[in-house]
Amino acid sequence: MQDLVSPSRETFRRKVLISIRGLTVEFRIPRGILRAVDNVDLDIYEGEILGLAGESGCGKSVLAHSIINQVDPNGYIKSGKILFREEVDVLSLKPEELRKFRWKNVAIVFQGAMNSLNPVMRVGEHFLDTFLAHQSKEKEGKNQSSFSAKNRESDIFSKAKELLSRVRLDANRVLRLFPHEASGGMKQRTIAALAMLLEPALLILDEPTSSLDVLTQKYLLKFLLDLHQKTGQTMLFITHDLAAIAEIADRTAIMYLGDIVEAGPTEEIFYNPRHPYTIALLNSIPSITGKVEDVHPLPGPVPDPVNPPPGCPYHPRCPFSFDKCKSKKPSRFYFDHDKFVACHRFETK
Amino acid sequence: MNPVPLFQLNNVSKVFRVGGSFFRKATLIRAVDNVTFTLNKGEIVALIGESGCGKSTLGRLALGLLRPTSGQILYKGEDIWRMDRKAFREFRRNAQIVHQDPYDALNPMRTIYGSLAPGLLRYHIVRNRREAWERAAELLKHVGLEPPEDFLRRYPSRLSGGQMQRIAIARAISVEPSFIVADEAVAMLDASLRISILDLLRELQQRLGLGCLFISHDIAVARYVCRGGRAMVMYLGNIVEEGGIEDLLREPLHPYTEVLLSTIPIPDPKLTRSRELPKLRSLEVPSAANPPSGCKFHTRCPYASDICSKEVPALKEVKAGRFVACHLRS
Repeated sequence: MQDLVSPSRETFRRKVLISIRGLTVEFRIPRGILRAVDNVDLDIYEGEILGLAGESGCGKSVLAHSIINQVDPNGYIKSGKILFREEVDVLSLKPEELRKFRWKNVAIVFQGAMNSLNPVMRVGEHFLDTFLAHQSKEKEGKNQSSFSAKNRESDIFSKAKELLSRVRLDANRVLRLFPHEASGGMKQRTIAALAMLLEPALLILDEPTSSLDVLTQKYLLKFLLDLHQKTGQTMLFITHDLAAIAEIADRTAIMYLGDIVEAGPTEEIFYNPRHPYTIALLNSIPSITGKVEDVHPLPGPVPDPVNPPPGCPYHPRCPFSFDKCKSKKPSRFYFDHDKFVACHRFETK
Repeated sequence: MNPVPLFQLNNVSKVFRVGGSFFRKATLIRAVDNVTFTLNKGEIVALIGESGCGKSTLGRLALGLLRPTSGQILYKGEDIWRMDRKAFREFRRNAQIVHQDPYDALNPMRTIYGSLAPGLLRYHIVRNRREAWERAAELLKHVGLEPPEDFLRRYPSRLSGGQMQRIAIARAISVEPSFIVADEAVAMLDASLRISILDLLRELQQRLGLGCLFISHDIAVARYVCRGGRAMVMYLGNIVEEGGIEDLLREPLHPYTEVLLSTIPIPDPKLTRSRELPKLRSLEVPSAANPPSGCKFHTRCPYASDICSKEVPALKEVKAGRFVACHLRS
């Protein structure tokens, strides 16, 4: 099983871009405290596409949004540390620093991102607005004010055109459109191009394909892969759809009830899954290949996240569970530096 | 020779008028264009197509929720739009729908019992409210929600998406229909939840002998629920291919089916990355208001020739049980 998905894996300068340690995020809801992310450690390496998969409500979006210190008003980051390039402590940035950090260093394409375009602004203005909001002050500092405003505008537009043509859009037309004049797929691709405008170090894609048609989906994934091959763009790809992960991710992390239960190279996860949850998840996807009879639903209901089960959170649904699973939460068992499973079955015997 | 099919559409078209005023001509959108198909008792047929291809309109036509612009819709051999009130009402009871979005399908101001009871009472499935309560509880047990009494008192906001879709299914079968239209019934749900809902749908369909039109954009989901049954592929209002779903997957006859198949993600990294992208001539779906002449797919089809832009291909049987509307195959 040494055959790895992406040839570029060998040449990774395995430099850590984002390092998350002991992150816990909680939400106050009427019924009590909901722990959406529970003491998570995660590294995102420079130049990789990391797939983060899990059922809805497992905390994958909250985890991703925490990277830019953006949590809904009723939630808060209880503890943990997020380091960007081993130096910037994201969680202690001041509001103005945080504003600059977002989009420039880490950009997010939100779920249903097509609705995040301003309906009264043309697509082109979005590019201009984004660029100016993040660049102006810095430009002065770098003494590049010799650029007249006019010049800068055309620079931005040529950059926008290049990005839009990379997502196979007719840039000259799209830049002049209002969002309502574009189709869903066009908007989604526009957003992806917009997110790339400031060349962020990390691009977070939160369920970018879930509202798209299969065809548009395939082309968006292909665009992201092309971009990755050309520029080595680091991406965090969040989805509940394991088939999309199979298509794009170098490395995959599986999340369940606020914690990552298994992670490793994508091929390892798909061909040699170890955690019972990963196995069940993989068996629950209908596909156009394989036998229909081999597909099975996940056992049991998702537990209430306000009152998670003690011990391993998966034990009430797990066919392999034994006594220890009910009382003690399993720690990670590492097979390799980036390959682990959190399951008592793999603890050193 | 054949018994009267449960349900039949003959050359059905639906044209929508959009916009238009005293000064401006309305745009005509042909959402469903000359569609013919039959559905037998207890049969499950998949209808596959991208968004905007008219598959939901076809579903609503089949339920009698929309009146076709031309063509006939026959239920047990009778045209539903020529029925008397009583027969039409009986048809309506027999034809039920499971919507795509369970959050929108259930009234948030009503308890689950409040959503289930009116149908039971209206169609005299039960005689009084006490029986309605018991029947509703029984239905919830059928769809795997236990304890049912607990669920009956809840409001939709207290339920998860999967649970709500189960309620929507319970409501559809509560009036003892003979066929249901499942319109993207699992598209809003998590991939991991889909299978259990599909299993439920299929089990009920088999046990109650329901005819089912399963509308989906996802061939993998359609394949799971059909189990070797028939499938139809729709493109811009036309059925372009029809046949057994496994045959369709093994050997797609229409170029559009081929394209759809090659874009479906497969949960197998090596396999899915080794597949080539279809060589489409254009990525954009043409506007339904102004569809291309001839074969509607010719603007995107990698194999299109002269005839494709001139003549509309008819849906023809090219092999046993396989129908396709393509000049290449005739």
